[in-house]
Amino acid sequence: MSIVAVKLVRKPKHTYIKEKKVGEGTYAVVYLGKQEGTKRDIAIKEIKTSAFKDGLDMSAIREMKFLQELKHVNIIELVDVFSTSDNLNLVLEFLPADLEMLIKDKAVIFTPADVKSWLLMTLRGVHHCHRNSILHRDLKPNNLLLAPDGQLKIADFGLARSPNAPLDELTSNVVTRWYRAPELLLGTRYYTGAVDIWSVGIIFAELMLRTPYLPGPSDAEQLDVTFRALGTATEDTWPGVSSLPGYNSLKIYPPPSRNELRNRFLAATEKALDLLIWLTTMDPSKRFDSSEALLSDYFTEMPRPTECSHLPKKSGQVDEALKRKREDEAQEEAKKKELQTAKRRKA
Amino acid sequence: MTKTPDPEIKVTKVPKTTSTSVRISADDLYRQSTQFRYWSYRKQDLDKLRVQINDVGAEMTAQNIANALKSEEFKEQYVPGSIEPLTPDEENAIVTFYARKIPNTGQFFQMNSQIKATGIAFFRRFYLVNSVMEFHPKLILHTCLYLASKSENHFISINSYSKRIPKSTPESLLRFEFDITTALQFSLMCHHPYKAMYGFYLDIQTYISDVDHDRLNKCYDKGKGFINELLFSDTQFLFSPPHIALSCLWEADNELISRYLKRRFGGNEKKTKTTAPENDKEDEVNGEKDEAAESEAAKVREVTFDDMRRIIKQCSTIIKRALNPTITDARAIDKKLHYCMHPEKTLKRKREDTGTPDPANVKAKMESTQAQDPNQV
Repeated sequence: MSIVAVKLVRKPKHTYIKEKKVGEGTYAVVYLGKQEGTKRDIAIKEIKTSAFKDGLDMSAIREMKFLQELKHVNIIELVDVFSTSDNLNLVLEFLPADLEMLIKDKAVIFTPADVKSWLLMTLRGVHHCHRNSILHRDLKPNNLLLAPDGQLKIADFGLARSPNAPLDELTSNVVTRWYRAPELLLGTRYYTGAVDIWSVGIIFAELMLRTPYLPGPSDAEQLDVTFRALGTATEDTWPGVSSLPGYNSLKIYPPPSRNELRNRFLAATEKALDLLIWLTTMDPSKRFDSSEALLSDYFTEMPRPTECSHLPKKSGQVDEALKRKREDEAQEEAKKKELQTAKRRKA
Repeated sequence: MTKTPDPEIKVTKVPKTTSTSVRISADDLYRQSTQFRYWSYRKQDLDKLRVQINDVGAEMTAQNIANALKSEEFKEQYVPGSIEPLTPDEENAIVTFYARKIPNTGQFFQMNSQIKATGIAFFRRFYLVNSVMEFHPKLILHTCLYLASKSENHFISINSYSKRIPKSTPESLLRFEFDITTALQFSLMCHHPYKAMYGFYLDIQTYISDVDHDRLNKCYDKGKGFINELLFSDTQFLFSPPHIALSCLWEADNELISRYLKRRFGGNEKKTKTTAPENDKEDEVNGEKDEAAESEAAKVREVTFDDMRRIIKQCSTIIKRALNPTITDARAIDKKLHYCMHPEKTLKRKREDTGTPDPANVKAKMESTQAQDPNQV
């Protein structure tokens, strides 16, 4: 069998140099490195195949399976896959920052055009997933990575799924709590790409607010937080909702008025609010799909989305610029003082 | 959401078809899939590939014989030429024979048709990269199904899986999992014709609004049966899932499907090629003009009614040709394969026949009977 084993090891297309270990997850170790020759920055996810009792891990399988199929500027690129002894190596493009880092860094100012640009790129990525009938199921700012050129890339397909039939039963225990759509919170087993769209809506709100929009303190309370902010779903607004498993003993909150929403999102234009309302519509069958969202007027009204190369990038860079400025100022100050003391001495 | 944010009033929903820009078609998307890029061939290329794989397997056999010849005993008794490598057709037959075991095993674990189909696809793809003379199908079969079941999101622990697979251990089942994944070029997404067939099922009702539902359902069920059978043929390597689905429906009820195709594609028929207009003469379908298209036709962008019928026709001929080797044939091939992989066993077998007492015999006997009876897997 030894000959066979040699034959089967898939050689990488390029040589990669691991430079430093940046993380160790449950099933993988992540290294930063370079592609030899092209000098391209890359990240290598090394998956230990022998470490698991049941063979290849499901998350690793999903990530590999879906990224192989999805080639899009707004989806993280799987540059290469190769095997070394009993390790599976996924070579991914290097993405130094994510949207969560930027949202949290209050030193970075977002203009409405920046928000529009990020939302547009997110929706383009989601649209590509959905037309390939792939649901991401874990969209959140932390999984929206930013390339050095400013492009936004959807990452982490460890929870993704491709439903085979429209009536394929799925688990409702997906998506990080704050970004989980109401149908999931209510425990539906049959859902669509609308769950991803909801997450995009909540991310849109977060980009405008600079703080999480529906931060439920626990899984149990997330539904209450959601309904309190957006109004309790009823049979009138969402036919069939009352037959979902989690729909019982709910507090009835009124939906927010247009003015209430205007006050919540002071910088938002009317078109921006329209889109937000569509993305966060309770009834998944009425909620916008990715094409409808991409065609919304918000994207065609002024201002134009910021060119991605002009978008705020890695938060650290801004800090450094500030630091340098302050250092320069301090030097100026010191120079002035020196001059003054010199003058005084002369005097 | 009863008051202001009722979107029906506030904003007019954008109709999905107003944009003038060119949209990527489902077919364009399919062309980006790994199934199309890595696992779709023209007929002649597929045949060539099988010959190449077979050459590698034959080399392996030659090497096995060379190794065995190092033993004096074998050297003395070996009749040159008595161990022949399998032919490409025999390889294909034995792979198909084993592949046909997957549905039963899958049924046992309550796997849906998608999982079973993926398992079969993995198994058959593996043998477009490796020869059965390198890896005996028995070593690969159940691992392919296990990997397929994980890939299709139907998790079973290896212990409970192994318990139900005769003569297996968790280790033996996982031994080649990584090698299989590598042979599959890490591409695990499989598009089967079931989904496409369901799409046609709905589309037919749109285009023939007064369709007889009993007849349509019958056609659909029969079509699904054809798909199940086609998993063991080369159609998946030669045609796209919608083509296969449509051909299966056609085989099930060609009158109905012909009516549907006329309505669906006949209306704005575009003559992109210089094919003689066949129009709707039913008998032409079974006519003789098929050589030009091959699966190349699958790569033509503008789909015309004529193209459609040509593809269906080719695909249908394969439907009737799905391999189903008999147990007797499979046993003969399996025996031959056993000696390719273990040339020294021919001797032991001889010795056994002459009744030489040898403790190794018992084991050899067990193994050879095992090899001869593929049914026991």
